[in-house]
Amino acid sequence: MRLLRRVDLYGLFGLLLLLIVWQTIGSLKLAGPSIPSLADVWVVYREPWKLALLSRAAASTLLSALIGLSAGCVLGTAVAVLAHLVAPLRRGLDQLSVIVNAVPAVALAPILIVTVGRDWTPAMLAAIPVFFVIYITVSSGLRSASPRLMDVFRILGASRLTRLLFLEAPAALPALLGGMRISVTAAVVGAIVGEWFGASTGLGIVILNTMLNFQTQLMWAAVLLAASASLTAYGILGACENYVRRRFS
Amino acid sequence: MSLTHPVPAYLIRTCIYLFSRFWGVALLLVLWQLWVLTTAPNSLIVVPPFVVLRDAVAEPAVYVRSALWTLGIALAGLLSGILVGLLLAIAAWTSKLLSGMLGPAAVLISSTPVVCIIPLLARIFGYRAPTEFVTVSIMMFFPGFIFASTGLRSLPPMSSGLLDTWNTSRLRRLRLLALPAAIPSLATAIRVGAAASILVTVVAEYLMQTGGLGALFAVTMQQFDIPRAFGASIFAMILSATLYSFAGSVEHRIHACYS
Repeated sequence: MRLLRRVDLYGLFGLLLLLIVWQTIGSLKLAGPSIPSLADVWVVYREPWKLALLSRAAASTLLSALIGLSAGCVLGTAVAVLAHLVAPLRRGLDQLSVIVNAVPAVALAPILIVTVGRDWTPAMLAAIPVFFVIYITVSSGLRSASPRLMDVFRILGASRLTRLLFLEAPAALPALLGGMRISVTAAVVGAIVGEWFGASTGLGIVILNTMLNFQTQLMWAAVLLAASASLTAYGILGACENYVRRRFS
Repeated sequence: MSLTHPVPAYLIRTCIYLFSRFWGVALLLVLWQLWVLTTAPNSLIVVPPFVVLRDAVAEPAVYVRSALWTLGIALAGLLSGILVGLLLAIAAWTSKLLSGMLGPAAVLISSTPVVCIIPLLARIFGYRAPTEFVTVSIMMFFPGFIFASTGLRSLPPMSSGLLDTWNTSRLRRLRLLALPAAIPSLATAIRVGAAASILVTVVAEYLMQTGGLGALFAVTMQQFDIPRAFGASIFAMILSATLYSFAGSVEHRIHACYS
């Protein structure tokens, strides 16, 4: 416990040091006007209209990221279960998931705008990397069920579905949450990149417009908001993963 | 004399092997072709795969030159990012203070949407190829740091106690025990970063237009040369998937050697 407290303290110290370095670089203009000081960025959050703009944009981006995360999780899990149950399909699905993940977002966005519309493009671009990570982690999670317990299930005459529901699925749950934790940042980035291609609102639009108009403080405020949202979701999913890992180990 | 020739067994085996691996990709291409034929969307947005293939066959040099540029930037960025991650992980391994300090900073940097600030990096470092390299390195440093940190601590059982009894110095312990133990984890970091390195490079090239497949895509889209734009993105996709598969097989071999 004492060691944990010390590590936490070091972590806090490290974070503080990072913020001090940033403040120094910004104050002394070591990187020019592109990196403002943290104090200057903080001022943005205190201006009501800018805060309202950022809140609206963040709500839209996070909704797209959440839809993408949910869709990616459902689809990734479904395809992983299919590959697990029907072994001959596994190699083809592995290759398909790699190929789908390898499509550059900038190439996919114009097609998605035509097929699903501007408003759904960010969610779709958020879903693709989530699908890939969840497919990989759930596939490996389903295979991680204890062989001894599997033998017990077989001896007791459990059907394939029973084994999946009561043995393999619980074994894959920590992997699913681990995958969600890893992919949450990718979902936020996917949503932001999707917004670049003409969404009506969102942090992506704010970042792009402020960059073009040299409003670097507002831009950094939007970037930090996106980073904080990712970090918070990362922390929450990490805590859920730890709980599930303890519960099912 | 029989008029029919039996199909060689190796050909059947090859076909079965290819079908078992690529049926999903083939299905995707067929659905794409059918979608374009049946719904006939605007040819300024989508073209059928056959037209893309025809352009790639007619002008392979354009694609290969751009693909090599992208591959070079992506590989250099991937390896330098992993190397920086490893060096920081070693620094964290040597001191609890540094470990506590670097961990949260690494998570914070990884949560920052670096892809979204590429235009800003371009303004700081200039619209040049080295900026693409810097962007990919920043993106790849996190998997390097996380996996190297895990690897440096996953020592073989009893080995640490043995070196304690020999009173081995920290530096020798790092060289003889921790660094070799970290090699499988580093191989995993390279696999994890392999596909993403190509995609990040393509986005950086698309925004900076200094060269490579991303720039080829951006320029041809502006000129409404849709077959070439699609060809560029398909080349990027193939490059990304191939690099991922290659890194996966290297990782598999390294894990087999160390298990």
